[in-house]
Amino acid sequence: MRHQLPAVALAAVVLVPAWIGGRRGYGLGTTAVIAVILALGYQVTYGFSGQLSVAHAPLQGLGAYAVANLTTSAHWSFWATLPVAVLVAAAVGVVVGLPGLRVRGDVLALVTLGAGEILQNLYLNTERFTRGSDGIAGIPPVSVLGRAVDGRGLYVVGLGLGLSTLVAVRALRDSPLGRSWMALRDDEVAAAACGIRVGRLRLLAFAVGAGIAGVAGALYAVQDQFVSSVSFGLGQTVIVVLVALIAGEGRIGRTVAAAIGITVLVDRLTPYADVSTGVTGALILAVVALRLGLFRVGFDRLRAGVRNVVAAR
Amino acid sequence: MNGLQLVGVSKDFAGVHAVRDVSFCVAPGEMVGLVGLNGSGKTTVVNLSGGASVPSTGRVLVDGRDLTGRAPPNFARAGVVRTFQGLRLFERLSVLDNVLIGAQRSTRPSLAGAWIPHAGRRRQAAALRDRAIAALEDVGMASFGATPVQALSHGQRRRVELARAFAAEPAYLVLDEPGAGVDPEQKEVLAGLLAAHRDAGVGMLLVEHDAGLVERLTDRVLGMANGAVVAEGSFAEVTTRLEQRP
Repeated sequence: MRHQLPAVALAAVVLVPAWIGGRRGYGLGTTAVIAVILALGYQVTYGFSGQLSVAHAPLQGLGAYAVANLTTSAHWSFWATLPVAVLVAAAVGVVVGLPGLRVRGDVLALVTLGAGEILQNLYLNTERFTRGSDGIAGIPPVSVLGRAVDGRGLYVVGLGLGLSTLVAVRALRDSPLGRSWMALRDDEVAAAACGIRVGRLRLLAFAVGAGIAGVAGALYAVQDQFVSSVSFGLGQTVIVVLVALIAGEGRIGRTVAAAIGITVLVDRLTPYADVSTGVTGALILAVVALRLGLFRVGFDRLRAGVRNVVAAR
Repeated sequence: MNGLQLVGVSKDFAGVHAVRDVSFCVAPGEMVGLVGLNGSGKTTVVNLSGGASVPSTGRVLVDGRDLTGRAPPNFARAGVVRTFQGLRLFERLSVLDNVLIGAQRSTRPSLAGAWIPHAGRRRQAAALRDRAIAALEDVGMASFGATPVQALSHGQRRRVELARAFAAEPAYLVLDEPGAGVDPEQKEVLAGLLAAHRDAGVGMLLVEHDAGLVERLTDRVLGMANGAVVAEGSFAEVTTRLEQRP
């Protein structure tokens, strides 16, 4: 099952847009692929190396702004900007991850929250690069073999990037590097005693996670053909964290499935904007309760209670 | 000079002298026992020997290389591998992955290693795997390779930690209470394994409460009291000296 799940999930991504059909279907498919890439990157930082970062969406923004800037101002092609998007996001990811050399767990979450807010602020205030609150519009569509692609073409491009990311992240998980990450996640002291350079690998996990977020950002920029800071706020990060919580740390197949599921849910909730945040919150509570086994405890107590009542009669 | 060597090492914690002016050398193929009451400074000496603790004064040398102030990974790469009194395993990894982390001691995991297929790297991975499986066979845990360590009993976990240390092919092994919580039958197995690795040339520093184990295995024993080494010699000599102290 462990090896089949990613395949099943991917088949769903391929088939569902075709089933829904038309521009809306492929648009939703691309959105799902972006969510999958973003969540897979987060699994490297959080799932493999155990660092609770809440700056993932702002890091995605770096990739989006890199593509938006270079394609509109410098007229680069999407394919030329893609590596830049990855490198910029990875480099800033290292900076965001630096506090991770000193702090852990909830403190690291707070520090990265601050870093993410700073990035958001830069997006709003560095007019020259981001055009502030106006955002950058008019991003040209992706060209393949000299021809601009439509919604369906972009979906295929996204699927290619998503598959590449999936293969890359799985290779990481099964490599000595992935094993070292998971070892330091479980016990840093023992990992260091086994020769693992903990600080270096923690930073590398931030860089890789952010670099992959950069890919998601790049794809986002060409899908919307418009980039502004509102797309990379805390709400986005919360959704990524939620996907990782649902899937479990380092679980790749489930991450793909959860990212697609959440994307479809968010899409269905779009007409009900006033309740969608509440639904996200309720989902987080439900997932945490499930993870802590609270439902089970509650169920067992209920069953014991019923049994007592029956016995008393 | 070959050996794991502490030279005039002291360690203070907020003005308290945990270890005072300790000097000794564990030569390759030698097993040195470290005994003393709880709180006499044995575990601090273990931490100092593996880089987990930095000396306040004095030096730590591995085969003549001064590693004073260096971090545990540097000690591991220089060949010093340790076990923990409190058993520290990678809880969510499988038994085999735990031992593979030991086997990976002197490799440098990289992105290129994960992403670029390469025949040499595949051979290396296969060799590490063989080494890890051999270490698991030594401790009688080969059939548990895929089991998450969370699911093991205390005695089994001890054996996995030991396999992780052996798979690292250390030059020096620092063992902090390897016999704690191990049943008598398994202790025999443990004694045999330690003796075999000692005879194969591994230098060992053994902290152990089981007098029988220390007496049988060690070439010489250091007796600690109040953070200082106060006696050195055979196990019998050292315990007599420690008991005679006021």
